Amino acid sequence: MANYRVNIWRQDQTEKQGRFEQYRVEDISEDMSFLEMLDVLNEKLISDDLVPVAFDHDCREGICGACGLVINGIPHGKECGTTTCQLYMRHFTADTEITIEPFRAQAFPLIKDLMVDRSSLDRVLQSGGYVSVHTGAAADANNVLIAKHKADDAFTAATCIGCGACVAVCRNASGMLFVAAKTSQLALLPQGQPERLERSLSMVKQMQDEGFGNCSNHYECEAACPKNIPASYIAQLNRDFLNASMTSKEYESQTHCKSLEE
Amino acid sequence: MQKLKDFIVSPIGSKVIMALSGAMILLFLVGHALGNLLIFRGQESLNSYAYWLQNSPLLWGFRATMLLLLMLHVMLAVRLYLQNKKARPVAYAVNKDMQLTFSAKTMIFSGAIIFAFIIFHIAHLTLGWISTTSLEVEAGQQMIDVYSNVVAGFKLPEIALFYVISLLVIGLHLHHSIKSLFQTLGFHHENFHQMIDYLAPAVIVILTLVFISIPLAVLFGYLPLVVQP
Repeated sequence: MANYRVNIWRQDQTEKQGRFEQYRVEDISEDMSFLEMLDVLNEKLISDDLVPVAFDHDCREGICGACGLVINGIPHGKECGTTTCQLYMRHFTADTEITIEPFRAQAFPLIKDLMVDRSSLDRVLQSGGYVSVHTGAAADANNVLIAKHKADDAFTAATCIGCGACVAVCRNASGMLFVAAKTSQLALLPQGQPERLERSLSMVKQMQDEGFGNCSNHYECEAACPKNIPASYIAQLNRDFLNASMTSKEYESQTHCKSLEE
Repeated sequence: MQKLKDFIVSPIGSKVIMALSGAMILLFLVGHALGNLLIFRGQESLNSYAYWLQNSPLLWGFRATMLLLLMLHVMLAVRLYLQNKKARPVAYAVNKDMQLTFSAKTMIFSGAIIFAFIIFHIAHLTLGWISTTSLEVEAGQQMIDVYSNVVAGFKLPEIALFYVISLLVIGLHLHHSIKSLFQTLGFHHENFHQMIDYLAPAVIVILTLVFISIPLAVLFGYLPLVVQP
């Protein structure tokens, strides 16, 4: 059992001024998750007739991407490849100070305390559009041939849970690793080819319009990613975007056929 | 035209243009460093090389291209920097870097120092606006005595020191640039990434040492000022 001093960002709503408040949490088991420690704090706050701390959480098993706190300066804390819910109190030295901040980005407006609105990521995803696939009866297994390593690489990209830690950790609040993961999971598979180039153009455009920053190749994103998605996927996105900028719809405006006027 | 504009202002397009313009400036730096080495062969070698350069029909085309590349690089850098600042309006109370290097963190500042240095350097040795010496440098028949200008300039410790520091800052800037360049252009593969990891520092160290060797050589008296008869 250990005690901690936690500094938590409290802000009533988007427009209000926020501030840090320090709370003391006592008798925390080392087997508690970080969110359970916050649950303990909230129960205490409620019993003291105070407003509990608002924070996002859902599955609590590291697969939904709902939780996301900046803990001592690092999104999801300093443990490698974990979400906040999979971070345990044994990773923290007893009687120390823990500073908890919300994800900070122009594209993530703050809702309350530690909760931010990450729907900008959904809009980026939606801008990618549809995938042309055969409908009807399910195709036989292995009908479409995919090399094992390609399938693995696409799967690595697809493990992105859209938590936004890459944006939160980036000095420029850039969403490049997110966009790279979402484009690569399709770009590496045969099924993703028909709209591959247009997808990279429209998703990057949406990312820009949502107010995310630009990539400076700092690679903080891959270090913070709870799914350990490497920054090499950003190079893949850069390649696709460059290719798309040069070749997408290149024949559209080149039709010389004009109807003669009457 | 609209498509080109969209590309240039896009997050990736801006970076690609910065990477390409930076790469061309880097290639120029390599050529510049090699040309500089002629100073160690003596006054005659450097001066005739300078004479050949200044009378080249390509001189102004080359200068205009370099200026355009530099302007593109600087303007896009400032634009990206401002956009990136805007993307995080509220700063974190606690900041912790994981993989972020000092070089990457300070690109905009090292860039600003380098930009100021380039202006000074052109004014000092290309245009000769800034008189760095009270010595009357004798010029040959319509031949600028580049050797004497350089040596006279670097005889002053403050000028030599300013050059050495600025050149180290260029090395710092290149440390992030070279690796970043390949990533931005989409090359990130373990087959050659390790090669870049070894090659980039080697290129930077050699390049910086070659540039720095000249002010240091003058300062420590290895390159004497020879007044031509």
